[in-house]
Amino acid sequence: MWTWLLSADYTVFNWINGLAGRNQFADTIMRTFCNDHLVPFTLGFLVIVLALHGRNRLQDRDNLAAVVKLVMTLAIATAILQLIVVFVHRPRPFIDHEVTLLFYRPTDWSFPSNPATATFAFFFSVFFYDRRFSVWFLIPALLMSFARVYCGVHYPGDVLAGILIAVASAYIVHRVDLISRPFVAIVNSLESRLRSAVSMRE
Amino acid sequence: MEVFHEDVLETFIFCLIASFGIIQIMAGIRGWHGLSIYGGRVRRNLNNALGAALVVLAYAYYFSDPLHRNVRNIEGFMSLVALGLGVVAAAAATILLSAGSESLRRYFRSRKGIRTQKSGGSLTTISLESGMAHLTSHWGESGDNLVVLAEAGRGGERLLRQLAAALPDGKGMLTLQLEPDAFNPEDGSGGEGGGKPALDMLRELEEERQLTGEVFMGLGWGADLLMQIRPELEEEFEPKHLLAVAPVVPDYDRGFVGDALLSNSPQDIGEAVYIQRPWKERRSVQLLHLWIPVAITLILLGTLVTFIFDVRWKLLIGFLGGLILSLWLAYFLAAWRGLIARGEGREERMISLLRRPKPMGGNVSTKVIITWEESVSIVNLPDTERQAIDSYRMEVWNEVLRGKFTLMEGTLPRLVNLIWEDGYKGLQDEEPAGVP
Repeated sequence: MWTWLLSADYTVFNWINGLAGRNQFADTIMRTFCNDHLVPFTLGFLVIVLALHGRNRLQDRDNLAAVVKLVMTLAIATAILQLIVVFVHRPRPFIDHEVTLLFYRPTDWSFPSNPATATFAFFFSVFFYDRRFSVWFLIPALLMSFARVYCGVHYPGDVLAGILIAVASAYIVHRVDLISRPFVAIVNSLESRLRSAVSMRE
Repeated sequence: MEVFHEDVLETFIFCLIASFGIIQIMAGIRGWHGLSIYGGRVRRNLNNALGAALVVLAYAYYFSDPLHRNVRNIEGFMSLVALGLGVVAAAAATILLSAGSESLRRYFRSRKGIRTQKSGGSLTTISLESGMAHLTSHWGESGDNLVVLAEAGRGGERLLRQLAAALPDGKGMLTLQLEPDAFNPEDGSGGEGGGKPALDMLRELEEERQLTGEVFMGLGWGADLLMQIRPELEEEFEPKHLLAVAPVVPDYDRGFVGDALLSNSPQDIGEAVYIQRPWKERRSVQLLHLWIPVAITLILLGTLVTFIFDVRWKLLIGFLGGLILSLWLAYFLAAWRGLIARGEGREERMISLLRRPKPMGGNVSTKVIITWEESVSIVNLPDTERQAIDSYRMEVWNEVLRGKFTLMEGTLPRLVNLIWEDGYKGLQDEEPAGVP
């Protein structure tokens, strides 16, 4: 079973990575999205939009709560990922196989995919709060995850595991209110204190 | 692990510029005039252009460097730290710039006012038990003077001086400025929200000045106060007429008391919070006494764990981990001890102090001036309250902001005309100079 899964994973990897090196434009696009910084930072900036895009204070409070939950989702997903890395040591595809590598050679373990975990943690956390808004997070997350396989630095299985960790973390945070309640209460209290400080000035 | 110090700095700068740009765009979209970094009103198109330019600049700056493309550089954790610090720095820059530009605008506006207005802006201050009173040197005939209920605490003095300077010749002004605690839901004033101290002050002052038959006006929170003590005022002082300027209209059902970001600069907000002294409130003190020992214990424990497991950045991770865990734990301990209860926030308590508006009664003409911030709140009021407010003679000054009241040229003369024109004739239907 395990061997079959690894074999299937490698087969899918070959399909996707086999596309690399055929079209220079596609390679450039994929290299761009594979970048360690572009998508994660863009998602980080989208969180500012998420926090501030409400129409009134009621929506602002809900949005701030969603941001708190997103941060907690990221923290939990990272903790799960670090725990897995302690036990599972899967080498990168370019170590064991002949691949078309369009990226630098990362030195850490391949499983699970760190970028997929992080970007999908952003997506799922927003998805459980506001499905429409979460589309903005889904597209970059999908592109980055696909690009990591396309560029030869991750197996599809690594990405899938990252997505599972992300969805589980987001689900736990949104389902178990006890985890985030104190922080949401603190943020709401600060928001209330500052925004009710209305005064008349010249 | 290799640390790329230069990249950390560049990443931080990238995050700072991009976040600052996004905050500018969002401030423009939301119409948060208080966060205008160029003073005055926030201009949506300008903010969009500025924000978009900054975001593009940030991305171009960062990704034009080949080191930030397909080369191994700073690790994920450091990226996250740079992102977090960049966002915080962008927020801080927005706060500093908007506070600074607004202070400059007010400074130059007041200098211009001093040059152009007559020298009637000086006020004599009288200390009273519940606050301060400010008197103009001249006190006119009965009915020719203005009694102003200003906002409690310091901060609005310059507006009062400008108002005093704008008074016509022969008119006097008396201003009541309650102590900050007088309108504080924490003060245990029996749910009167400053009404009793205000009336006591007026009674005390009547020994010095004849207040019966004068025009009474409330500014901001003072307007709310005026509406609350209207029956007592009518009975004891028989005002010529009443004028409530820019009262705060809370969202009673949702439990919100206004939105300071709409027009108050961060400095105004900071001052208002400072005079509230939240750290001295009984509940805050109790919460701090509960949290501090928990925090110290968990920070020490967290640091110990980082040493046992040889975690990187032991002191920082131990401190942060312990701090976050202590907040989490202290919240539940506080809830268990009854220190945190739903519906007991400051805003909820303030709303419980503010009486819901009642339909106008009595014989004295009462006018309410609503600024831009409240024009939306009134629409969202429940029917009963909205009808009550509608029963007053209401004027909506949509182009005027409460937190930047004199920003629009001609607002003070417009107000003065409204105060002194008998029966509110004259300028009430005219637009002030400078209205687009």
